[in-house]
Amino acid sequence: MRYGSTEKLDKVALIAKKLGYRIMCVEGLSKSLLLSDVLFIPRKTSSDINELLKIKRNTLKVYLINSPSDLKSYPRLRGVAALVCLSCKALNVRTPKHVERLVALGLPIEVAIRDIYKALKERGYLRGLDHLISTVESGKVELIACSGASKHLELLHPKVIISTLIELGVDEVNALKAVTSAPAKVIRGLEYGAR
Amino acid sequence: MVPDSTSITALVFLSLVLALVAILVSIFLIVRYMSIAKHLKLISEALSGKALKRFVKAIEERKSKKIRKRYLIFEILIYGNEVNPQYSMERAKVEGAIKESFRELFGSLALSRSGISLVYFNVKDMKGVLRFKAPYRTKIITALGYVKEINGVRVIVVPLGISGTLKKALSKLRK
Repeated sequence: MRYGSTEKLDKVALIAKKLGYRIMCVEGLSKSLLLSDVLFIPRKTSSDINELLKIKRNTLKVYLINSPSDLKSYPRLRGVAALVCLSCKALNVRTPKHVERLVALGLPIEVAIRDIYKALKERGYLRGLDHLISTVESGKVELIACSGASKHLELLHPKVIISTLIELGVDEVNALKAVTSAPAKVIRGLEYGAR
Repeated sequence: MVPDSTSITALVFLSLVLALVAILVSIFLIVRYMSIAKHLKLISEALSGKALKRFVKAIEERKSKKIRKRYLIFEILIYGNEVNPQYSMERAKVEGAIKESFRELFGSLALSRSGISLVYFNVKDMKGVLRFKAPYRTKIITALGYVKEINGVRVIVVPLGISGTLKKALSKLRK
């Protein structure tokens, strides 16, 4: 759940359990919660590094990239953010230079499937995503895929996320990794331990 | 020094034996490493009429490779206050919504080739079985995630599993 969701967590937990999720990172939480056997972890998404520096240790810090200019201060990001998230606008970043900067960061890159659907409706061809997928296929960068839901009925089944990635051109193994082992690695880094 | 006739015949015999061994070894190697044994078997089988017919049929079947059908079991989740308790989902609308999302993502041509059809739908459980052609598996699952609303109500379509026969799909559904 992202971008300041105000949904009641009980509803979210019920659907998340039905969809097979065990851990969810939710925006706006102050501490971790366990509801209906689903662990909710606090998450902070921002394009301001100074804001991320003030956040508590056990929170998932995500650096949001809206435009190529957000990548200017990329050397400062190391050690601050756990992963980088590409917004709907950033999926159309043109040059491979920006993707190179993302690779240089060495952080996993998060892509929300709902954002991809939205961007596909608006534009059709997504250059940034195309570059990113070819970089992921070369093994230079790790991809994390999430549903990018802001409401409980926007959650996606993991199988749907994997199939969408495969249709976009990601290898089956990398698509599976993007939903299972790659997010688990990030969460382990937050000292929660993969469940 | 002129060799006698017995030594000449012995030499000739020895060279003949060597040549024969060389031929046998080369034939053995050719048969072993160039998989000619398979072809030899085929040729010998093809000599009989029945086997010839079977062979031709097998080649024809290989050419017209039959595309297998698959059955996807899914469930529709509806939550929220906006849903009327008397609300029921019609089978045609469910099928229409899935097909429309597929068409929006992959186009009309892929939709016609995928052979999507709703085989079974239980209005009470909100569970159903969707038939499609096997190569379109990932496309269908992607399209299920793209379905946003059916009959004006926000929903999530959850894929529960895929099976090869309708019988197995229905038994999975009832579990």
